[in-house]
Order: sequence, then C-alpha cells, then structure tokens
Amino acid sequence: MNIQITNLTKRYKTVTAVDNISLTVNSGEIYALLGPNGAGKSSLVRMLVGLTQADEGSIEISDASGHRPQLSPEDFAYLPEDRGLYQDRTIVDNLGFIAELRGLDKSLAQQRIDQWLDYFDLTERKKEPMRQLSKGNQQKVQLIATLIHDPDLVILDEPFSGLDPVNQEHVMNVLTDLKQRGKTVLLSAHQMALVERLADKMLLMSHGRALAQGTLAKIRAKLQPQRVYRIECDAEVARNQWGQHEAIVDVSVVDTDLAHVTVDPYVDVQHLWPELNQHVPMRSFSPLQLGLHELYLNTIEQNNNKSKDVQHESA
Amino acid sequence: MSLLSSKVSKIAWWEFRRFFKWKQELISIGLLVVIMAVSTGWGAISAVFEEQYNGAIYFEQRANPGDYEAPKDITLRDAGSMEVEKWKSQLPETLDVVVIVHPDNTATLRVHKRDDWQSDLTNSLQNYLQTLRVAGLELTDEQRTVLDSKPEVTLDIAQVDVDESATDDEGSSELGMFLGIGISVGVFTGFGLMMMSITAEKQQRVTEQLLTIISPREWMDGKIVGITLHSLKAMVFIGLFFGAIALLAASFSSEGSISFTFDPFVVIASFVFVLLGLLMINAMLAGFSATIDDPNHSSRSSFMLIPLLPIFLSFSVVDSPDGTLAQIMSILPVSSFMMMPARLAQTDVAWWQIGLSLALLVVSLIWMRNVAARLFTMGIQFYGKEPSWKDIWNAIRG
Repeated sequence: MNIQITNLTKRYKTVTAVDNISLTVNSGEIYALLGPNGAGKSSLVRMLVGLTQADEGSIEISDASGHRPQLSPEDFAYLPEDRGLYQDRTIVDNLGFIAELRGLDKSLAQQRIDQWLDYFDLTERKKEPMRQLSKGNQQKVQLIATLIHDPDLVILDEPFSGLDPVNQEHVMNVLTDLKQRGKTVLLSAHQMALVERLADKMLLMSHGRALAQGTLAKIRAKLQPQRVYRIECDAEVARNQWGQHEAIVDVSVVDTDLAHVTVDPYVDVQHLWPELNQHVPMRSFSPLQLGLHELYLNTIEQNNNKSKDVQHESA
Repeated sequence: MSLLSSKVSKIAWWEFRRFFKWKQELISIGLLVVIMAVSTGWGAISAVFEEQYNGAIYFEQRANPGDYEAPKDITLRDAGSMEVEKWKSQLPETLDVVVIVHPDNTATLRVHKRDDWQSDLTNSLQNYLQTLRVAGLELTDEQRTVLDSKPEVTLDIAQVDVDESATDDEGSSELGMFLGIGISVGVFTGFGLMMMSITAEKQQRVTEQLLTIISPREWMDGKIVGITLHSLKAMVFIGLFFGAIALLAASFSSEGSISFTFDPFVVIASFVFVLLGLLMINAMLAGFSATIDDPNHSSRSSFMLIPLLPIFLSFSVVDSPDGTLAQIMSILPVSSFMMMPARLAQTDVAWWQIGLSLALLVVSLIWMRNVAARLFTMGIQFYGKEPSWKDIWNAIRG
C-alpha cells in the first residue's frame, strides 16, 4: 500500500500544527516521523487515519489494484499516542474484542492471539486484567491489538515508548518482518538509534514544518553540509597550526592524539591534506559522520535558535 | 445504518459483558434470597424472641370479671384483695404489672418502671373499660345496635361496562406503583452504567484506537443496546424479587394465595413502551456522558438527572390513571414509557391514545438518537478537558 501526502496543512485556533507537509511512503518501506514534542507528528498521523480533517492538501492511498478512495478499518492498523485498553478486562478479552471488530472470525482471532502472546511471552498472563500488567506489558498488548488483523498499512505513534531494550528489539523484529512481507509502516519515535537502524526514509519536523526528509544519507547531506574529519595527530599542535588555515573552519581537540577537523565545503581536500601534513604529521584520517541523534539535536537546536531570532526581529 | 449491524451487536454484547460479573450477580441473588427469607419468616423469628410479661388484675367491685383479654405478650391472672393490698406497698419481682380496675371503670397500672409494652396494655384496657361504660348505660337493644354499627355508604358507579380488573383500584394502583419502581430501577441502572462506561473509556484512553475501527454512531448504538439490556435485566431481577416476596407473603397471610392474571396485550404493549423509553433515555445519557471527562470533578453529572424528573412526577399520578394529568403524561414521550404501562395495567386506555403515544415515542427515539450521535461524536474525542456549553449546543443543532 502506498501513501502520497501532498502539501498537507492543519491549523488549530492559534497554531499551525502541520504546515505544508508532503511525503511519499511505498509498500515495503518503513518511514519514520521525527521531531520534538509538539512538532506536529501526531497531528499528521491523526489526519492520515481520518480522526481529523486537513485544512489544506491531500492524502492519497493506493495499492497494487490502484487508487483507494478511503481506508477501511481492515486495511490499516493504528497505534495512537494516547492509548489504552479496558483496564478491568483480561488481555484475552481485550484482544478478542478488537479482533472481532477488525472482522476476524473467532477461531482465527484466537489463533493469532495465542501466537502473539507467545511471541511477547505473555501467554501465562492472558487471563489477567490489564490493570495488573506493567506499563511495558500493557504496551505489548497494545501492539498486539494493533497488528492482530495483519493489515497492509501500519501506523504507529511512539511504538517504543515504555519498552525496555529487550522488548524494543522484539518490536524492531516485528517491524522488520512487516517490511519484509511488503507491508507499509509509518511510525513516529524519539529513539534515534532504533530509527537509524530501522527506517528506510524519514521526515524531520519542527513546529509543523519539514526540516529534512528522505533517506538517512540524504538527510545527512542536507543537515551536515560541512565536511568533518577524524584525524589522528598531535591534537593541540594541530589546533594551533591548522586553526589559522583559511580552508579550515574548526579544529576541536577530542583527545591528545585525536582531533575533529571541519573543512570548508568548497575546498578540494585532495590538495589540502599534503599541505596540512607538512605542518602537523597525520597518522590517519577518515570522514566523520554524525549519528542521527546528533544530527537531530543539532538541527532542532539550530531551528529553535532561528525561530527565536525571527521572534526577536518581529518584536 | 441498522441499529443492530454486526459491529453494533458486537459492541452491545461487549458492553453487556463488561458490567455483567457472575460473582457479583450471584452474591446479589444470594443476598436477596436471604432478605426474602428473613422478611417472610420475620413473624416466626420475632415470636421466638418476643418477651412475655406477667401480671395480675383485680376488680375492686366485681367478684368474677374474667372476660378481659390482655395483649398476647402479657399474661394476667386474677388477684385477691389481700395480695393487692400487699403489692401496693411492695410490687414483687415476679410480677411486671398489677392492674386495679376501679368501680367507676377506670384503672391503675402499678409497674416497676415505664416501658413500651405498657402502652399496648393501656390501649387494650381503655377499649375494654369503654365497652363496660357503654354497657352500664341503660340503652335499648336498638340503641345498642345503632351505637355498634357504622352508617352504610354505597358507592354508585356510573360506568357499567368497566372491566372487572379495573374496579380493583387498590390492587391496580399497587401494580402501577410496582411498574413505576421497576422502570425507575431500569433507568437508574442505565444512568449509572452509561456514565461509568463512557468516562472510563475516556480516562483509559480507549477511544482513539476504537474510532479508527468503528464509527462514533456504531459505537454509541452498541452502547445504548448493551446498557439497555442491563436496564432490562435489572428490571426483571427486581420484578422477580418483588413477585417472589408477594407470593411468599401471601402464602403466610390469612388471605391465602394471590393470583396473577396477565392480559397478553397489556404485557406486550408495556414491554414495547418500556423498551423504547429505555433506548431513548440511554441514547440521551450516552450523548451527554460523552461530554463529561471525569464524573468526580464535573458539574454536568447532575444535569443528567433532569430527564428522570418526569419519572418521579409519574409516581404522584400513578394511582389515578384516568386523571387528566395521567393521560397527558402517558402521551408525552418523556414520561409515556412509564405512565402508559401503568395506565394499561389499571384501566382501559383509548386506542388513539396508545397509538399517538407510541408514535411520539418512536419519533422521539429517532430524534434523540440522532442528537445523541452528534453529541457523542463531538464529546468522545475530548479527553483531559470538557467541551464548552457552546460546543454542546452547536453539536445538538448539528
């Protein structure tokens, strides 16, 4: 199932929650929405599943058979950010109810419930009321309720929240399996390390707007245009010597024999290295790539500063 | 959309099971059986624990009175003048009372201390002495007969073709009252469960996921049907309980057993009115409950009691089923589901009144369901805060 979102905008009274967002998610892809709290991720997702209506823009869903006018409950799964199940009912009762509403017959529902509970190690607790489960276990039951009908499109708002690392891996495996089976997965998350491993494409949002989107490499290229190198050398000497060079933007000392050197993006580094090596001998050098976490933090910080500047100017 | 589509029936069954707990139901039935047993056997129980009092009676001017019967918990033996003289100075511990009847048909009770049982004895003695006084008057037999008998008052009923059951006013008004109590139980059950059902779902954050699977209207319809089943269950339960008590009480009473005669039309028509009324009230409660976030901190909960007002008012006219007010209330949809069954059970109701009342009730149910669905759709997505009165009004207007 493919999603095509074009120029989507959602405004509330004084806030533009989603501001002109466009994205495409194809079958067999995992697409991650990233951004701080209040960035507009949940608002975007809620429009996608039909809980709210967009003020502008369009959402088009298509599959192998062509354009779909609207999603039916059997087609997709949605794990909301604000989620819960009936606390006074047992795990099995809750899952059975959701499965029946999703159109599964009783025997198939029971079979799927047993499989999922076994996978998440909850079989022995299936007769317990939800309120007796830990937050993490409740989260697992929520995920089972979401995926019980094996839909083609899976939309998950913060699927990793409340889970320990072991169970985060379990969920990672589930999502990877969905992808391998050609399902479309759209998720929002704050766990950058997991998203970096999992997502094929991503959208970084802030204040409802898209800061960057695409593959991790594409985002990195956009958000990290300056080239940073990891150079093994006498770091203190390098800072003193190279810091004055016109092609060097910054030299930061990481350790006595390790420096991170930021190079002007317009300089040809093939000619620069021999020159630098004459001043301070280099034992090794390699390009340094920031992780998604650092990229995210840097970008959000820059964006917040930019917003403050705009507010100051307008004031 | 059908009221009982596949999803609606699944939600209805879920709602019913959600609040149907076998353990609690059995405990309730057990408690009712105990109450029933205690209430029906209370006479025997109280007889076992009833205290007996011993005393003596002395007539100052009669040699052998012997015809005074004391209350059943007091045993009086005849006393002699010597004993009485002695007891005047010192009442023995073995006696609770000494009754001295004076020549002027007055009496003195000599007791250790004041107690409740003495009032029964005093009343009994007063009645007895009054008959002695009347007997002392020199009256003819005719005068005595006139004095002992009450004047006759004849009831002349103008309507000659009245159903025999309708003339039994006392029994019928009791049936009407009984129906009213049953319907009130059903409505209050719906009130409590609907509020609990919806506010718990909002607090437990179930709403958002369900709203991507089912439409708000399907969800609300399922709730209405499920909670109405609970209302009916509560009514059947209370009916069986009171019925059993009535049967048992009758079997112990001197009047022997009681008999129930059911007119199938009245039973079916009453059921239809009650069912439609409960559906309408529960629809209203569903819509309004959706606007409440936390019943413990919302002032709106009390507004939900307003539709119950006509039900309370119905109690005041239930024993005069042919009165103007009763006829009006049996036609207005806000009270007809209670008043019409009460009237059908007590009197002959004109066909046009039944038809008009039913038609208005059906139309009101459809209207209420639509209004409640709009209110529910708006309110169910509010959690952590409540919609304003303006939001509610806009939703009601559509």
